[in-house]
Amino acid sequence: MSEKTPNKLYESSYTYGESRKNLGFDYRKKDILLKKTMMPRMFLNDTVKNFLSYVNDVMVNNIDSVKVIRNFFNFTVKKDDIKIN
Amino acid sequence: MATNNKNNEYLDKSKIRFSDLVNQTQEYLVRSYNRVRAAFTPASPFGQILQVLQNLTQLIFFYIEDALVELNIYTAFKQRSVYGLARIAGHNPTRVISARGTLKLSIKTDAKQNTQAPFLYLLNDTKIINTNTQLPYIIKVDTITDRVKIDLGVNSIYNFRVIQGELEEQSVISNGKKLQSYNFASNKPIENDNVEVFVNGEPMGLVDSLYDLTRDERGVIVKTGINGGIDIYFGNEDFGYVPPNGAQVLVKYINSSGIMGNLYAKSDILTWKFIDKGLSNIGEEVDLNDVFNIGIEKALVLGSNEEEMDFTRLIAPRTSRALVLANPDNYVAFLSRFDYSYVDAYTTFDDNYLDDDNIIYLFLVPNVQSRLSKDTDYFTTPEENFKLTLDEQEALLSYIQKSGRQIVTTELSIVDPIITNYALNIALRVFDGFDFNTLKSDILALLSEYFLRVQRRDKIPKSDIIAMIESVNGVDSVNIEFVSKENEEAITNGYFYKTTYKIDKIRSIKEAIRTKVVLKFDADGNVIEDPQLGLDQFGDIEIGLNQLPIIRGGWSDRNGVFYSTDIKDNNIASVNIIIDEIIDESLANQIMSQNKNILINNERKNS
Repeated sequence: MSEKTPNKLYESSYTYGESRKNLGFDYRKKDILLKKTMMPRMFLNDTVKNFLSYVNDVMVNNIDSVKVIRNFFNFTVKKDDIKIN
Repeated sequence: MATNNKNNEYLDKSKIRFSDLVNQTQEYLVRSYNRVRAAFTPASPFGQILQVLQNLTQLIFFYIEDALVELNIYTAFKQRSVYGLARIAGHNPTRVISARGTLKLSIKTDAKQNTQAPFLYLLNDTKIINTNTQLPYIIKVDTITDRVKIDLGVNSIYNFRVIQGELEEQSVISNGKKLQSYNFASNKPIENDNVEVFVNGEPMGLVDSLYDLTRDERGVIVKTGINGGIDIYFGNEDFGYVPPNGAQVLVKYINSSGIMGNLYAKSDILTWKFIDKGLSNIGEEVDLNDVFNIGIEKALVLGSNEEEMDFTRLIAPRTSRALVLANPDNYVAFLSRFDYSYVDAYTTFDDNYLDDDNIIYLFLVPNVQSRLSKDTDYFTTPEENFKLTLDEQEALLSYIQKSGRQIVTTELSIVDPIITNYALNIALRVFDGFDFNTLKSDILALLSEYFLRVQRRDKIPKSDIIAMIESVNGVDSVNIEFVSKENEEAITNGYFYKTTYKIDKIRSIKEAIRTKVVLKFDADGNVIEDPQLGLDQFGDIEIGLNQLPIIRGGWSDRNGVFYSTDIKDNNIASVNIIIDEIIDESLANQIMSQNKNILINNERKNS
């Protein structure tokens, strides 16, 4: 089972108890995007690691915002829903 | 310029090509840090970060382009996009349909010893696998308690409904608002007709429209998802039920393999294995493989893949929102979801015979291609494969009835195709240097493909076959002739029977009148008339009502020549390929042939 990490403050309370499947890859897991695309040695330096963590969040937001385009014509979900495959 | 730009907008908006953006970024860094460009190679940490971000950004651009392309039904190439856009147009695309049938479970003689239990319970939705295909199936136990008691002391046979696929479930939490809708994504195709929805454990009925729901009725609309998977819609209290805030909405569906799940044969070669366990009288798990011998009672049929995207694009703007099966067109659209190579529905409203005016006749030809077993083709597959079996007919009628869309007064009758046999003689003029066997197998493969795919119901023209064979490498010219079994038999016998129908309006009787037509003979007693039965004046195959012409031997012509069913090199069979003439492949011939091909290709492009 894959649960996407919510990015809103109260979303967890609204969706507690949900069991959704097939939601695609969760890019919002801690630094997963850059960890999978960069040399592991880069993450040994704490300064670089912290910097990359910010960069990771920016890139993940960019990726997720593309998913929102697919919701433009989908009236079954909220406009910023990212629980799509 | 970075230094002159107060807002730090180092990217020039007139250069928004990706490569330009990358170059400008690097120039900016070179200027800002006052370093040579070589300092930012991927070997340096900074260079690596830059390159990774560049590649990720490029991917994001691709994603954006892809997402926008997929917003147009004519440019979209992903199935879920086409289906989603069709949904918005009002058409609910048919998802994959699971094969269904009946399994026969007989108790093994040593079952009681193996399990040490007097009886056991077989549970609903027990999973079983066909070990030949490795596809999962689900046993449905149609009882209120969702289980059936099996007495191991009695040697009985139990028949259970079975459906191909694997159960999956997802749940969401209701927000308590009116007209709630949820999307459930799936990586595998979701079965079309077996979706169950529960709100806090209470089952919801499935309806097609909001207006099918009465006030607060426990019902839900299930449709193919706009963004893949399935969508479900609840009502607004006036029409249908509103799940309360915090209620669990559980959806159970089947991930199906569609057409691959069909098992036409009831052969013992097919073996099965239970994956789920049963329960003994004291609640212990029992391995059902130790208890049952499994066979097929009714073949597993009706499995179909999801509707073709081209079909969805075609039908989406034209679809009927009424969802009823009233006239033949409705039936053709409804039945096109199944794996049939040809679907026709008609009434005999205009024949002055009133008693069958409420009957819709369904003429269905199964997709023979998906029934071909190993090492068989169109010419060798058994004739039964061109007809629906009784099991398939029953399953189809039951499916239509369960859909709830049939108008009350209509009745259905599935018409068996009347198979008419033909032979095909092909005479060729070929270029020198081509291997005859290769040529022959190329032509046979083409013909097999053509006859499997052809969907015309009026004629099969000779010109189609000629055009196809002419495209085979090495063929210069071709002539073909269809030989009709019916015609040859008539000439051999000197007569044939013609059936006409007479309608007695007063007594409401439709009477078939069979008339013997005798052919003309000469003074020596030889038949001199050719009735051209099954052929038209061009020699094309003429297809009568409910007829299905196939190229098949097993009969003799007027001269006593026997057309065999097996196509071999040295016999006369249903397809005979003869090389009449071999010509040199001179330069002049090659140029002529090339010119002809250019001409044909240009014609095709222009059309």
